[in-house]
Amino acid sequence: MENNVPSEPDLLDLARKFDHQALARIYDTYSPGLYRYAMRLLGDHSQAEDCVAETFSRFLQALRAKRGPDSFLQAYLYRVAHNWIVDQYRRNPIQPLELTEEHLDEKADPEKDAGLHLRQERLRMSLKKLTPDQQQVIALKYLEGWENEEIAQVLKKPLGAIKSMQHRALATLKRTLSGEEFI
Amino acid sequence: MKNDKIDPVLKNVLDDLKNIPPRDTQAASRGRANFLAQVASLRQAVSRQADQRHNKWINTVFPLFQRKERLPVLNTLFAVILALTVFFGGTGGTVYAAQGSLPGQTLYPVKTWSEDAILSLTGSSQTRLNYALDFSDRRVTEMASLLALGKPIPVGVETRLQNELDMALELTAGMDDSQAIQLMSQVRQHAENQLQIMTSLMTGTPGSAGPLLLMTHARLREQIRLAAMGESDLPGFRMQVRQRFHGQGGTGEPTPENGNYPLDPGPSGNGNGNGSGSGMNQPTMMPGRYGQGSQMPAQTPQPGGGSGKMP
Repeated sequence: MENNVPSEPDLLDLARKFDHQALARIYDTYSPGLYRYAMRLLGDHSQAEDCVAETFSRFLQALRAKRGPDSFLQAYLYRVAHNWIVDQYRRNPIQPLELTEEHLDEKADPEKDAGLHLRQERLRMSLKKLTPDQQQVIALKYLEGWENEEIAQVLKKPLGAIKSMQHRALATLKRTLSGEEFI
Repeated sequence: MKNDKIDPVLKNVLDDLKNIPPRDTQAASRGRANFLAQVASLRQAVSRQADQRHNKWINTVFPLFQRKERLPVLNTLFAVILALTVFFGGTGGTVYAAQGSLPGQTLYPVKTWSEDAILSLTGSSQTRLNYALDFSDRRVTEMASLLALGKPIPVGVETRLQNELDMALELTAGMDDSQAIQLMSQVRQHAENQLQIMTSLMTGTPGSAGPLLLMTHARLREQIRLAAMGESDLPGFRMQVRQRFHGQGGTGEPTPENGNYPLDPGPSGNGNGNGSGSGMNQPTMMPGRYGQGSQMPAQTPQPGGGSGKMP
């Protein structure tokens, strides 16, 4: 660990001046998490890479236009990433489930892999039926393990609204999955 | 309380999505390199901060035209000024527009010509050093932008970068001790930033661009080494620079007595093989040892003075 790690406001200040090291640090800090988040929701590694690239590109464009975040950089980046993911959902409507060879790992148990893949795809399809905000609440809380306060920063909504959104989203999700005899 | 109020069955279902394959390291490196290339490209385009803009002239000149009555002679004067503005403004506009161009584009020769002209017309060593450092940043940005666009890097870009790095060293060596030490860290910092960009470009660039980037990478490391030496051992640094640019054993070049170093031995005196041409069919007016209008070698020159070897 370096001793002189700049604080987030300092880092953002340097980023606004297009400081190479500051921006590299920001990328290195947040890119793995953003990739993981996108991969979980999209289930496609090249789309997940596109999501990361587009998120950081929009961040740079915002800095250039003297916009961008003054604080809560992580919340900002996940908001941008989620908007991109929702756009992808809209462009690519729900597809029938399909299992191809690329989903199977030769070294592992094919049956187990196929089962996991099908469960993941069904869950993604069910998540797509939620509103974008509900999707993000569920993804950040139960997939990424964020606290409600952090999610409130991403969605720019009060804590109470996040809790009730979470409650409704879980109910809808449970209903959808039960209807498909998934749970 | 992360998973508060959630049905355990639903939680198990959601946990399935946590199970994702690891990220492809090559794709991750490519993404990082592209991002840093975009940073380098945008950094050049960012305008000055508002408080750094040269806007004082507005307050000086504007009131002159705020008279209610206008003298007839001013009409003629305005016509002349307008004509001159259109003429020089057109030329200036082209030069301005060229500053964002990349190698291979129509306006790129205008960009390099304007840089050479600026260096030729600048008298102060410190200002020339600042320009040389800025221009070397531009070269690295150009390389990053070309790679981001999937285009090849012309050898001329790397050659110009080498020339600009060399010029920075020579200019610093020629300054008096206190000024040289003060500016040496600037030279080093520029090279360190450039090296970092180059490293990230090398990570994400397969194939054909490799050798050129490798050469630039090695040259930047050399630049950092020399600048760091200059910060701690100025006489040793001057000696190295002299050997580097004027050949081992020398060709009768004068020895600095008061720390000053001759910067302009002329195009034929150093035998270092570094011409100033860009390799892109454009005239060059690099001042100092590069000589005006000298031709660029067909191959990328290796720095190393008369011996022709890397120091």
